[in-house]
Amino acid sequence: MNFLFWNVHQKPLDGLVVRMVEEHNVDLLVLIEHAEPRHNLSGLLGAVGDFVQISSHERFAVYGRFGPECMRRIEPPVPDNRMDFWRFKRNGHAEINVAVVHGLDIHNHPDRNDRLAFFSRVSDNILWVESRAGHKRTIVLGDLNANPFDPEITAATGLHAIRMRDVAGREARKVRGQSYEFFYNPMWRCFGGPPESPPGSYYLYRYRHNELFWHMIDQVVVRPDLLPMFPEEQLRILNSAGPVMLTTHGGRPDRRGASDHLPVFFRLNLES
Amino acid sequence: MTENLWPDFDLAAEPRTVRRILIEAGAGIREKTNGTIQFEVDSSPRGGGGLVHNCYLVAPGLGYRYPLMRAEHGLDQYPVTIVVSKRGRLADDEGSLMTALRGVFQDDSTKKVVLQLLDVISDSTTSSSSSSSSSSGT
Repeated sequence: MNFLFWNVHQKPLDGLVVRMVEEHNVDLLVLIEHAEPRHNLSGLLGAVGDFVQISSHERFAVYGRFGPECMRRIEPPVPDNRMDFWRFKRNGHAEINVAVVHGLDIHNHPDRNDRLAFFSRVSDNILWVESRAGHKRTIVLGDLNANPFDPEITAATGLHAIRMRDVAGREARKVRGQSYEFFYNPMWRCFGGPPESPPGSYYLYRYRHNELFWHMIDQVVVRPDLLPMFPEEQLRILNSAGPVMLTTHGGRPDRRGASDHLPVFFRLNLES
Repeated sequence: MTENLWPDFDLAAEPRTVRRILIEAGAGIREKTNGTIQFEVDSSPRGGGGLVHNCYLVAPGLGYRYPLMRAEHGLDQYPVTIVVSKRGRLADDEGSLMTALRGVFQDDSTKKVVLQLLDVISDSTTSSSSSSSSSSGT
């Protein structure tokens, strides 16, 4: 099953989206900050396959190439319009939990404590969804508005997504007596990806003494239970939509013609 | 007054650039779809004096732009590289560029996109006219 997600920055980029869905044979499409009106996209995706729109918060637009009954939305005890949860269940496929997150951005939420608290809530809600599902085959994807090395992502009280596939065979670790479960964060490999692949999903040029320029704020992270189904080498940050480049001649995201974010593609081998 | 070192330019003549050829060749979609679909060429610098021309099928009513193809060339107009999906095709002169464009426009995948787009436009027009008629009745 192929996944594509993209923060389209509230721009009318449906044509580029359709072209990528076609090119990468996408089954589950997640758009973050999708522009209104969105009612035409289902029809336009019809040129590629039978897509249905999946119920979601307004800031997300989710489309699946399967019946709507396959992806049931789950409302956590403490809902938040920047996170959404579904259970994906389809005949002949492994059941998984899907979480889509739009993290708090540093510009509007400069206090890191707010951003950490947000990811603490994401984690709590994921644990609740997993306890209801009775398994931990969970993926989290979206514009997390934090880099893979930021505490929001790595801290035990945050998303707890780390760069190692395996920490001595453990799926959790204890900190001061409390157990915290891991996610694996495959985005680290994209920092030094293939030469033709962008070294991040977002570019920022600021006049600071310390500046990274490229940021990896659009991420997918997976629970260890899903690793056997996750072909890591197929994870890619995309820089084109069919014939059109999503980056400028200098290789940076083309904010004028596309979005300030680049889309992320990955695959899960859920078919049994 | 300082002597003007520039030559005289024929400002009346529109140069037969690749961009001009793309615009003229693509414009026919408007006639074939009763004006509902247009062909747009969005050009930007490529570096080294070259240009990239992204060509879109556009449904103005929907605010939708489908990326159909890309044409790229250096400071010299030719050769032009035509890219529809991943692989490019070279056109060495205007004649081979027109042949390449004919191939893209008449390809089954392009026809499928145009028909799908017309269908969505038709749906959109129907729903907006029915909603406007219902609102006018209340």
